[in-house]
Amino acid sequence: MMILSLRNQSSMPRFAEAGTILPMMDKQRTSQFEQTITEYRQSLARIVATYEMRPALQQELHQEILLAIWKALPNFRGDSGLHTFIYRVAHNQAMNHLSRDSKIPPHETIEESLVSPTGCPEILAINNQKVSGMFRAMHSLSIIQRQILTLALEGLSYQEISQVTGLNVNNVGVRLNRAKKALKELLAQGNGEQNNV
Amino acid sequence: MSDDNNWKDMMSQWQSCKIAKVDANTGLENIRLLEKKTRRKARSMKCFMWGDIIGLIIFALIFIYQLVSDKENLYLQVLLGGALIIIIPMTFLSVWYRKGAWSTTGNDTRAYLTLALRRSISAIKLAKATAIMAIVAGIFFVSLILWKASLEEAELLWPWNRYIFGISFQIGLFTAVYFGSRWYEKRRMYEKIKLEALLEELDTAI
Repeated sequence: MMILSLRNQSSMPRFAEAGTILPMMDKQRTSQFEQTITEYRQSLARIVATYEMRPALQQELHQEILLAIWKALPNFRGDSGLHTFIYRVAHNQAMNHLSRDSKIPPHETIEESLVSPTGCPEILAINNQKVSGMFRAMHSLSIIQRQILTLALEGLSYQEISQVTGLNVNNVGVRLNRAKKALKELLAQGNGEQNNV
Repeated sequence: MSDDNNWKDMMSQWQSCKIAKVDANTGLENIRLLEKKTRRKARSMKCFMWGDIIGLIIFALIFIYQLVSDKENLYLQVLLGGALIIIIPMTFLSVWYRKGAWSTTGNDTRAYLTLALRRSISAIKLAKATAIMAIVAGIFFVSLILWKASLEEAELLWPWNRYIFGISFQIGLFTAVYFGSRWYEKRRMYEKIKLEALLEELDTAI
């Protein structure tokens, strides 16, 4: 009887607390998400533009990335920086988006199918002509090169890129140098073509 | 030195690049709606798997009950026995093929791609098994109806005949299941090829 009454006493406030804690947690989650998205809005849009050139699918990928971040954010434990965590979620989701796309036949490489004839993404209109050229050039690179290059351009260190990709730090360095070289060559080619026109 | 400056210049241009129209359909309300949708989808997938197992148990119980109570009805026993022979391996395979495809071993791209690859491989295997099951089940159920018709010495006259209707229904159903699973298999095969290419790129050539 005593145990029962004690149990009832202790469970009552617990239920009452749960009623207030849950909306509080939801509020906290919402504000954390909104803060993160505000901070990383442009970075995420650039990631989308790097992976997806087709305007109709850019919004879709953007939504998928935001949803993945919304789901993953409560699991962020601070083992790595928040930016590493966000980029990891975004890049993984983008990879998932590319692999799931059944419209690309297997004989065609993903890179070939993603190159838009107009070059610049239409929905995610880019205000900078030079960066627009960079996007165009990056779409000629392989997916992994593109991933490493984007992360480096966003300001991540080798160590952080290694955490996102699963490659070791030395490997990241070598790959990044090669990707930079390839990007430079492509940009030079693009400039040459423009000058000829 | 100039390379370094060039790279720093590129970085600053990249980071200062503003991309317009990123807010469309990306508000929190929309994300919550999407979350609800995906949760519903995940729930229906789980329900489907559990339905498979519960259905199997119910079917097995009915079969045992029929065996004990009605020893005369050979047709029903063959029907239930055959269905059980088809359902048991399918349920076993649907669990077996998903082994190791539930969670990642890490959070990085490599782990994520490996998990996605495992998932598409298990989906391909399951689709193959379903296609084979559709052929076997189709042949079995059509033969069963023909056997029943011969037992009752019924005339198979088109169109107002329940046997003809039954045969057409079974053929239609299992043909749809067969082509549906082949289509699904092909789709997942594309996905598998792409994932393998990405993983290969990640693993080979430094």
